[in-house]
Amino acid sequence: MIRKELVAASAEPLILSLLANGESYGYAIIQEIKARSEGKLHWTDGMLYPVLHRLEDRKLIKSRWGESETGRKRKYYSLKEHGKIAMNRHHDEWTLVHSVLANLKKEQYV
Amino acid sequence: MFDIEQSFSEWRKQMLAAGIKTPVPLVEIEIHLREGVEKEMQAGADAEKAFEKAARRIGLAGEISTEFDKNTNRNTFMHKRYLIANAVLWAAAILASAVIHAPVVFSIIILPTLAFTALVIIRPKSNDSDCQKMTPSA
Repeated sequence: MIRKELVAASAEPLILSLLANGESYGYAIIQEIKARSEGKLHWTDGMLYPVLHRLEDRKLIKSRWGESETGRKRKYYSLKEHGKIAMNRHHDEWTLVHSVLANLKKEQYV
Repeated sequence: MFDIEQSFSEWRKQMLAAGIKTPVPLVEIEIHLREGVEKEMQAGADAEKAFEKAARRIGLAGEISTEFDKNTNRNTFMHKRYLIANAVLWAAAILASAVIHAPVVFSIIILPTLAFTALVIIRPKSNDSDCQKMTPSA
């Protein structure tokens, strides 16, 4: 299981990256993250919504109300242009951290 | 006999008591809960167990509410900062117009009217205005 500080820090880049693949809704976002991390990234379902609303307030994502196949109301989220820019910035930052960490680890084996 | 709608009603009360606003975002979180219960029941759990598991995954009302409060505080701070910056700029413009002896009608009427319009009349619109008409469906 990943530590909660890292889970919190990775929430924004993960949501933005996931929405870059197309619009989605809360329940599906949680399931997708769980599946992609093989259950190691554990989000409390309810905590997703403050993050989604914050991203929407910052105009990085937008939402619309729609319906599921069974007719249940659903709020769908999608990425906005500013969101793509923010996502790319996150990717650059996380890539840099990963590269520094990987190099340091490599040096330990030399 | 377990009454699932009664459980949803009690869950809603807990969320409201913790300060989660209705209809948004409470409606949205309840839809999520209902979807979770449905999936659990499809996987073979009885209604009571399904509700218990899905509600546990949603998390504690107090913690969710605290996270929403952080958003509100951030928005309030940003809004105040925007108002202060605007007020300072307009005050500087009015002062400058007086210093350079601009026409009185400009310094006394036009600039203050523009400042009032910018600071008081024009306000940011809520993103959730459309959503507030929505109600959850079972």
